[in-house]
Amino acid sequence: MFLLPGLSQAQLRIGYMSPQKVLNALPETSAIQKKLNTYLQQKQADFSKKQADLQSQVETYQKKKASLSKEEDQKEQQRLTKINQSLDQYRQQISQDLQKKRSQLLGPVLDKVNGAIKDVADSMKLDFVFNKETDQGESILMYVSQTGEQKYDITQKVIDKLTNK
Amino acid sequence: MIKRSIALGIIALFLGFVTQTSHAQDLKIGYVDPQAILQKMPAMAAVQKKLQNFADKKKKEYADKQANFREEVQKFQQKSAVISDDAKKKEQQHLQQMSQELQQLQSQYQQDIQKKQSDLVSPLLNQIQDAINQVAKEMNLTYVFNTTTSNGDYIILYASDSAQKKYNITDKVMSKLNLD
Repeated sequence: MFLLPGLSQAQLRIGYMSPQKVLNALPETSAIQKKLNTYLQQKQADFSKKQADLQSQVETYQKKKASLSKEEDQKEQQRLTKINQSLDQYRQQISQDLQKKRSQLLGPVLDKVNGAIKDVADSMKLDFVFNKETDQGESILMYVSQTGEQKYDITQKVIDKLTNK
Repeated sequence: MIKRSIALGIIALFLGFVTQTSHAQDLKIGYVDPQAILQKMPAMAAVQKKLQNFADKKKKEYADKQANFREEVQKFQQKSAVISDDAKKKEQQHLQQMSQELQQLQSQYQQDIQKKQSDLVSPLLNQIQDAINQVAKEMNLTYVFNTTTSNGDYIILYASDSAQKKYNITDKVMSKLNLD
């Protein structure tokens, strides 16, 4: 009898999965990706327009440069530099906004995925669930035996849970 | 005699069972969030300040060199109409070289900053590692996993409530470092 607590402690159960695969299998994710692409395209078009505008202003300046006084020339150069700087800022802003929008849209989906992981892990009495690989595709688990794969890869179970299969 | 050997056999069986169980018990896995510990270390604030100063200094050095380059370009544009083709070519080569040097400098600065960061942070990481080693030995852990990568990807996606209570050693490591 006194062996029982020891035994149950010995049964450390570890599952693993690929969250990226789960995300890819969800229709929400592709809808979000679409939204983000549309957003980025709009911003990029706006940026290109502003950039072309600056370009034509620079050309105008170069044409009239010879006829400008030194003071006027300096002033014009400062003005164009400023526009150029604000364009740089705009570019950074776009990438920040995109990041923010991405985490805003993806946040609720990730919450759902985490809930499903917990449900599956609870029902399988797992102590831990490891990530199989990083978002960049680097392996965290370098090897899983065939039985390990059959028993403890919960990726498909989590997908099924989320898609109500 | 027979009875005795049966009894011994049972004991042997029993012992075998016990050793087998304790053998299976050998595998114990803990996990820790070293980044959370690092952020709590008082020395980390000083490190971040030093790093910021270093980066600012490097940025200023680069900006000065860049301004210098822009000035030279402007000078060249002003005089380019009045100098010989030869002189023009020479001057252009000179400017091109300057521009390349600037680019090299920028990547050099990034490397310098990264090196400075690891120089400053690694003594702290060593302290954390020592404390992890101590806790792991005390708890007879076979492995201690990191919870997240440096990019913020999760390594451990889930730990059951009881696993969290038993095997999350982050707090224990912090107490070892007197960080509570």
